[in-house]
Amino acid sequence: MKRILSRRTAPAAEAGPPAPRVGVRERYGPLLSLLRPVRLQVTVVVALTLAAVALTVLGPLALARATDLLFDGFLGSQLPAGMSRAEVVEGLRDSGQGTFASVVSASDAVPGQGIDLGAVARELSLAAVLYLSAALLQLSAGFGVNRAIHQVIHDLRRRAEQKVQRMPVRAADGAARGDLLSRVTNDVDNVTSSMTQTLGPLLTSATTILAVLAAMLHLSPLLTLTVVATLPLVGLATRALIRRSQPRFVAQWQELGALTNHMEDSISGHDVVVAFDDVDDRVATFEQVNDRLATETASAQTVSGLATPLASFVGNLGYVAICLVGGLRVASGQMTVGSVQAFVQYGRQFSTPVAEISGLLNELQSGVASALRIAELLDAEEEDAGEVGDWETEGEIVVEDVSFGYGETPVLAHVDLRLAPGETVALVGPSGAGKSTLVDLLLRFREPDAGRVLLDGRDTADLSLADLRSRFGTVLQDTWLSDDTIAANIAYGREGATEAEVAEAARRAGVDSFADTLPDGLATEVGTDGSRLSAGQRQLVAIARAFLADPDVMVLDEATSSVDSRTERVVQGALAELRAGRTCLVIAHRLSTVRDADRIVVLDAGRVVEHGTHDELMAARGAYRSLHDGRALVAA
Amino acid sequence: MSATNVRERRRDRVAVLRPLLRDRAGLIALLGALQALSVAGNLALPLLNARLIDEGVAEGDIGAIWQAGALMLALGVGQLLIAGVAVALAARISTGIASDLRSRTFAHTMRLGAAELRRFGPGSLLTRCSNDVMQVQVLLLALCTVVVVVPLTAAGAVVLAAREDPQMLGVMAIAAPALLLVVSLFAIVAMPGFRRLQPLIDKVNGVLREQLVGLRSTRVFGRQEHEQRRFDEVHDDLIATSRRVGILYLSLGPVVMLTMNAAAVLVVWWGGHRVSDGSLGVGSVTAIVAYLLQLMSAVMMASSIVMLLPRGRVSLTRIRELLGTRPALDVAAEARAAAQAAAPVRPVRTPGATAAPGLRATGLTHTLDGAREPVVADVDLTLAPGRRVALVGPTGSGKSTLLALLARHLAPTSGSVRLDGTDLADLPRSEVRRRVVLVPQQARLFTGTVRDNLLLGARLGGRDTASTPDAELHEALAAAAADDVVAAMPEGLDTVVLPGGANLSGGQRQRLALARALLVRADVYLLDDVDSAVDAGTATLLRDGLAARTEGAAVLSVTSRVPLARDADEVLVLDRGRVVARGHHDALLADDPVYADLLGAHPLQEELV
Repeated sequence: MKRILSRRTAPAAEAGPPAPRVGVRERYGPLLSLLRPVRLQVTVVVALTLAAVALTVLGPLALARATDLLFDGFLGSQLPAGMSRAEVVEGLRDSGQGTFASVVSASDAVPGQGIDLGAVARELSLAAVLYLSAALLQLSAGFGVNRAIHQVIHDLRRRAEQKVQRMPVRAADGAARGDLLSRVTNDVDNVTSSMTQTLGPLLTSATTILAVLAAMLHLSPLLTLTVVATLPLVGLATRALIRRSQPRFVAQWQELGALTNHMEDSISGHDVVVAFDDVDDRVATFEQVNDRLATETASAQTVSGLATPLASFVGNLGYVAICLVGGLRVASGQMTVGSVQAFVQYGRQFSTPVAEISGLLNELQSGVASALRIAELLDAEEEDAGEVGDWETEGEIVVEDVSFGYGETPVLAHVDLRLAPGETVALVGPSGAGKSTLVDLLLRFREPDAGRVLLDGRDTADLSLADLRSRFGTVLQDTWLSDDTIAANIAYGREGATEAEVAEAARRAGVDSFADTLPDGLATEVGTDGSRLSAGQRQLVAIARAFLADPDVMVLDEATSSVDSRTERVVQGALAELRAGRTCLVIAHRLSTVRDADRIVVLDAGRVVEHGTHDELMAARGAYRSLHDGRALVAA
Repeated sequence: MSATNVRERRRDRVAVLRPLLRDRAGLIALLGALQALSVAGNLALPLLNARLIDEGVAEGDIGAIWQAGALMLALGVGQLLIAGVAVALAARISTGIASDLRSRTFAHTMRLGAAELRRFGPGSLLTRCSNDVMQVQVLLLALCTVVVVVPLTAAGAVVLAAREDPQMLGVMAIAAPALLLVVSLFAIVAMPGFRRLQPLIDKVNGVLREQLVGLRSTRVFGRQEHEQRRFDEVHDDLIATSRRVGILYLSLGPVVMLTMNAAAVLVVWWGGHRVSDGSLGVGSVTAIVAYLLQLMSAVMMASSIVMLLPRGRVSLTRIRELLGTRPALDVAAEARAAAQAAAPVRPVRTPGATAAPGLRATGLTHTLDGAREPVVADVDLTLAPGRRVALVGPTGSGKSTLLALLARHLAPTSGSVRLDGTDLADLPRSEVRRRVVLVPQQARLFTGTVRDNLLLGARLGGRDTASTPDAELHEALAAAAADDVVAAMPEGLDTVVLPGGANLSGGQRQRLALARALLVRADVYLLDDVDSAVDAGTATLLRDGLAARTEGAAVLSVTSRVPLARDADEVLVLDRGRVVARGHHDALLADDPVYADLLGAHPLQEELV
C-alpha cells in the first residue's frame, strides 16, 4: 500500500509537466483580479495611506524645528545680550573661534535671548497634531483595507462554494475532497493573511521611497543617482529569489492539499483503520507527505526570508558608494560635509523601505501560490442547473440504444428500455451489471456515450438539469444524511415542507417506528454522516425524504437493502400507495420488493437480457429464474 | 475558574511544545547566538559610518574612506551570512516543530475511538491537524525572528538613552509600561475573537465536506440553494468574526506608533525645560529621541507577534485538547488495571478444560452515555472454532453495536468477551484485531489501488505485504465472489479506487471489502450484513466461498436473508439489544412468527433475486 500510495501522492512539485516560466501578469493576475471588485475602496485606501505617509514625514520636521528652537535658545543664552548675531559672529571669527562662529551664523539664535518655551510648545503641538492626524489616517486606511480584504475573501469562498454546488457529478466523483477542502479553507485563509500583512506595508514603503527620493533629489542629483543605481541590483536579487521561492510556495500549498486529502480519507474510513489495526501505516504515509510539506515550507521560507538581508546588503553597498562619491565631492569642494551627512541619513531611510519591499514581495508569493490554486478551482468546469420548465410530467421514460463506459471499461451496451406512464419496472441483475449507472444516466449525473434517454418524448439532454431532476424522487444506493435532525433530513426532500407533511412522510416510511423510541423523536440529531442511526434507519429516513418530494417519477436504488423484511413490508405498503399513478423504477435484490412490479427487466453485463412479469420470467426459466434460484448467471 | 486551573491550562499548553523545543535546543541556542551577533553588527555599522565620515569625508582622506568602506562591506557580508543562516535556522525550527506536531496530532486522531471521533467531527479534526498547526507554525517563525532581536535592541536603546541622561530612564519607565499595556490590551481584546474563529473554521470545513459527500442527494432534490444558504450561514459568521479581529490587527501598528511619537514629543518638551535650566545638553535631547525611535522599531517588530500570539495560543489549546482526549478503550483498560491492582484476582487465563477455544461473551451490555436503555443488554454468546452463528433482528436492534463489542472496537459497560478464555481487555489490541476481524456494514475502501486495499488484510494477518503473491489475493477475491469484479477492471489489481469508491457499485465494494477481511485469516469473523448489496446468485457464490475459506474459524453473520440463517448452526434473534430467541433456523421458523417476519421467510416469498 505504501508503494502505491506514495505514487498516488507523488511529490506535488513533480506532478504534471514542469511549470512554464510565468510572466508577471500570469503570476500576479489572479491575485490582482481578486482586488478588482473592491478597486474603489483600494483607491481610497491608497489616498489615505499617501496622506498618512506625508504627515508622518512632516512630523519629524516639526519635532526637528522644536529641537532647533531649543538649540537656538541655548546658544542665544550663551551670547552677550544687546548685540546682533552678525556682530557676535564677527567677534567670534576675530577671536579665532571660527568653527563656533559658523555654528552661530547657521543658527537663528538671538544673542542674549534664552529658550522660547512658548515657541517650542507651538512646534510640539504641531508635531502632536501631525502625528495624531497621521495615526487617524492610518487607522481609517486600516479599516478600509480590512473591509476590502474581507469582502474579497467572502466573495472568494462563496464562489468556491458555488463551484461545488455546480460541479458536475462525474467531476466530483473523482475529486480529491481533502484537496478541495484545503483550497477553500487553507488557501483562502492564506491569501487573506498574506494580503493583510503585505499590501499595507508595501504601499507605505513605496510612498516613503518616493518622499525620500524627492528630498534626496533636492539635496544632490548626483548622489541620488548613486543611490538609485543600486536599485537594479535589489530588483535582480528580488527576482532571482522570487523565481526560486514561488515554485516552493506552490509546492507547499499543494502538499498541504495532499495531506488534507490523506487525512480526510483516513478520517472518513476510520472504522477500517480500527478494524485492520492500520494506524501505523496511515501515519507512515501521512509522514511521507508531511515531510515533503515541511521541506517545501522550510525552503520557501528560507528563500523568501533571504530577500530582506540581501536587499539590506545592497543598501549597505549604496551607503559606501555615497560616502565614496560624497567624500570625493567634499575633497573637490563641491559639497559640504553636512549635506553628505544628511544624505547618508536619507540613504538609510531609502534603503530600509527598499529592503522591506523586497521582503514583502517574497512573502506575497505564498499568497500568489494560493491564489493560483483558488483560480484553478474557480476555473473548473460547471454545469448549469437551469430553470424548472412549465409542463406536466406524464412519466414515460424511454432509454434508446444507450451505451456507456468509464474510460475503456464498457458498462452499458445498447440498452433499450421503456417505462410506460404509471408503470413500475424492477431492474434486477448481478451486482456490477450497470443498474446504478443507468440511474446516473436517467438523472444525467453522467451522459451516455451513444443513444439517448427520453422523458415524455423529450430528449433529456435538451432539458435543463433542474427541470429534469425536479420530476424525479430518488433514493440513492449510498444513503446520505446531513448532520442535522431526522426531521430536517426528511424536510430536505422538498423546499418549504410543513411539519405535518414531514411527520406524515416519516410515518409512511416507517421512520416513526424507531424515532418514537428516541428521547427527542424526529428532533433527534443524526450525527456526522448519520452515524448515530443504524444503516437501516438511515435508509428509512432517505425513503421518507423521497416520499416528501412527491415526485412524478420515483427511482429507488436498493432503497431497503439494509432494512429487515418486517420493516420493509411496512415501507412496501406505503410505496405501493405511492406508486399508484407514478412511473417507478426499482432496483432491488429482494424478491418481495421485485415481484409486485408490473414488469421486471434483467440486466446482465450491461445488456438487457430478459423482461416480463414475475410469472412469465419464472416460466421462461431464463436469467431471472437463475437469479431467483440463487444461481449465478453465466456471463453471456 | 480558579487561578490554579488557569495555571494548569497554561502548563498543559506549553507541555505540548516543550519536548519539541527540547529536541531542537541546540538549533535554538545557535539561532539566539546568531541573532545577538546580528544585533551587535547593526550597532557597529553606525560607528564605522561615523569613522568613515569623520576620518574620511570630513578630512578629505580618500584612503581612509576606502579603508572604512572596505570594513563596512566586510561587515555587511558577515551580516548577510549571519542573516542567511539565521533565516534558514528559523525556518527549519518552526517547520520542524509544526511537522512533528502535525504528525502527533494525526497519529493521535487515528488512535481515537469512533465515539471520540464523532464528538470532534471530521471538520474540526481536519482543521486541528492543518489550520491550527499552521497558526502555531506562523507564530513560531515570528518568534524565532524576533525573540532575541527585540529585547536586545530595546535594552540597547534604553541603556544608551540612560547614558545620555539617567533621568530619561524615568521617561522610559513610563513609556515602556504604557506600550506594554496598549499591546497587551490588544491581545486581550482579540483573544475571544480568535477563540471563536477556529471553531467557525471547523464548521466551514464540516459543512463543505458534508456537501461534497452528499453532492448527488443535493442534485436529486435540487437543494443547491439551500446548501449555499447553509454554507453562507457559517461562513458569514466566520467572516464577521475575522473582520472584527482584523480591525484590531490593523489598528495595533498605528496606535503603537502614535504612542511612541507622543513619547518623542514629550521627551523634547521635558528635555526643553531641562535644557532651559541648564541641566541637560541639547545634543542629548536629539540623541534620546533617536534612541526612542530605535526602541519604537523594536516594539513595532514585537507588535507583529502580539497579534499572532492569541491565535497561536487558541490553536495550541485546541491541539492540546485533541491530544488530551483519551480513546475510550484505553480509559477502560486503565480502569480495569486499577481495579485489578486494588483487588487482585486469580490469573485470568484459566488453564485446561475451562479455557474453551473461541470467542465467548457473557452478560454483554453496552449503554451509551446518558441513555436510559442499553443498546446491547445481557447478551451471552459462544463462537467456537468452526461454528456458524447468524444474527437476525429488526433495524436498529443493536446488531452492529454487538459486533463492535465482540471485536472490542467498543468496551462494554458490563459483561465480558473472552477469546480462548482470556478477556479481550487483557489481550494486546493488535492480537485482538488480528484474530477477531469485523467487516462493517458500510464497505469503505481507501483511495489507492485495489491491491493497496487488499494488502491491508494481508498486513493485519502478519504477512509481508511486499512479497504477498497475487495468487493469494486472487484466492481471497474468489472466496468473496469478487474475482470477476477485478477481472473486469481495466488494470486489474492496479486499478485505482476513486475517493469514496465512486467508480465501484455498492455490491462490488462490499465484495472487495470482504476479500480484504478474508486475507487476514482470522480465528473469528464478524460479518455485518456483507451481502446486502449483491444479487442472490452472487450471494450463493459468496456463501460457498466464505464457508470454504473460513473453515475452522468461527463466523458470526448479521443477515436479513434466509440462506445464511439456514446454513447457521445457531441463529440469535436480537430485539432492542436483547437476545429474544435462539435456536436453529427451522425450529425458529416453526415456532416464532416474528422470526419468519424478520427474514421475510414466508412460504410464498422466500427467495431473493
